[in-house]
Amino acid sequence: MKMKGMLRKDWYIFLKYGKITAVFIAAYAVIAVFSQNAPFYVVFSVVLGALMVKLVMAYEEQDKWDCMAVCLPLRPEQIVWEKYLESLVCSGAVAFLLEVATFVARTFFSRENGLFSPLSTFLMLFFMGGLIASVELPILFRFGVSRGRIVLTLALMVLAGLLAGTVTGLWEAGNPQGSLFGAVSLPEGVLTAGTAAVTVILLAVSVRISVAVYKKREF
Amino acid sequence: MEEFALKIRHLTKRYKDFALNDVSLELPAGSIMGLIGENGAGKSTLIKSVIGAVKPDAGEIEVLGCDNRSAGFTLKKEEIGVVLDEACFPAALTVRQVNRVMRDLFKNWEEKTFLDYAERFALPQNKAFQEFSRGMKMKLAIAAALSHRARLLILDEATSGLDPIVRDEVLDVFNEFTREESHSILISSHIVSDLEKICDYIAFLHKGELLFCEEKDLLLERYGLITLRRDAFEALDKRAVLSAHDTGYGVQALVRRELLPAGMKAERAAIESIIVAMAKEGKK
Repeated sequence: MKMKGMLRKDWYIFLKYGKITAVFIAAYAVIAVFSQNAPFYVVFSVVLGALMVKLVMAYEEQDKWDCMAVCLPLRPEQIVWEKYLESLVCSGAVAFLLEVATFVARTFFSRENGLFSPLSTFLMLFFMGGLIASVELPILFRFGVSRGRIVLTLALMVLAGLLAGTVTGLWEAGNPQGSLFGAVSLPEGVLTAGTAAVTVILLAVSVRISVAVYKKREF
Repeated sequence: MEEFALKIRHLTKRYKDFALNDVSLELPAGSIMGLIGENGAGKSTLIKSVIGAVKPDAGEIEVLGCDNRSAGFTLKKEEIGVVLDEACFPAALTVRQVNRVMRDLFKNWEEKTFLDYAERFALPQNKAFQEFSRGMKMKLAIAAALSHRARLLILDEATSGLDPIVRDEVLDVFNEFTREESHSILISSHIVSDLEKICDYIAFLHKGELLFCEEKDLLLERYGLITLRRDAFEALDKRAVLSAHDTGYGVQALVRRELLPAGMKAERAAIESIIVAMAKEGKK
């Protein structure tokens, strides 16, 4: 119930301030499926999706909601988990959007971006979002959005570079087979499950760090 | 019902350039305590320590019978209404949206009470909070604090920045709140006259030290105002004089009634004069 209340509040903030970011994400998703440089746009839209949480937290910080939250009957864990949940919901939404864009491109325009099979696309993008959240949120909980933005920008640049490099490398290697996983000898399902496991572990560690950091924070 | 709504024992919080030192006070259930002090005296630090937004270096705080460091304090917050010096709601939200959010966050949220307060305070239902004046924002925060069956209200400068008419209206609401025997309020303010109107107890913080925490009536009984000729004033026991100034016609002094010569009557002093005199002299 409480999680619902906090998600609802974030949704209202998103509705007010997040429309332009949403338009950018949609635009990048469309460009991604029609572009020759698909990985760049895919990663960019996922990063933008994950940054929606930062946007919401920035407005909360500006309005001092973070201070108000301490006065509410919420456990620190609930406050932290809600942001992770929101981050995953945003990543899921971006992944879904990319799926739809890919489907439309394949069905109506006979375009093949050669990145993933549909399920893998969805899962991989979702995990990428999780990965970004696991790096982003401890920094935001530790420093706040305004103080943490330099640290966060550096961390995300490194992470986005790594993700884009990995995706591009795999795409180029696997493109002759028409699949991202063409370059990897492991079965696609095993690779996806492995990525999922790594993301879940990273998220679990990240949540613990964020909770510990949040409990020490003063407002 | 607990005997005390709030118990603070030896609260200490040190910052680089300021320290709240060994503060102890008790707010009896069913009463209103005003926390007075100049800017930087430590009022907000004390209030934030009570609600858990600041971690004290030493001391214990019990709110409605619950240690504020215990796991049970989260649940206890259902019964604590807090209004900080700013309204602290996301500016994008409207009154209706605040209602929907708070409905999910508080088990005892009373939608009707909240919407009734919103109507009473003439708050537009569908206007974003960011378009509200400061007075309207604070009224919304007060409405929210009063709409989840709180037994203790903690108000940090909740009336500052409000015009006198709105302040009066808000003070009436606080008075109504404490008509219920188990309801208590801790309110900090610069506006001593507001606190004088509604408080049963006055706690005075000065440079991080609690100079006193007393029943308002006892304070008024203890101190008084006299106007004397200069020679009569000079003859007074100087320990009786808290502050004095020459009016041109004589000396007006704030004095301790118990140290006045027998038969000398002192007029009622305003709490504000007592506080100002104490702050200036930094003594009890």
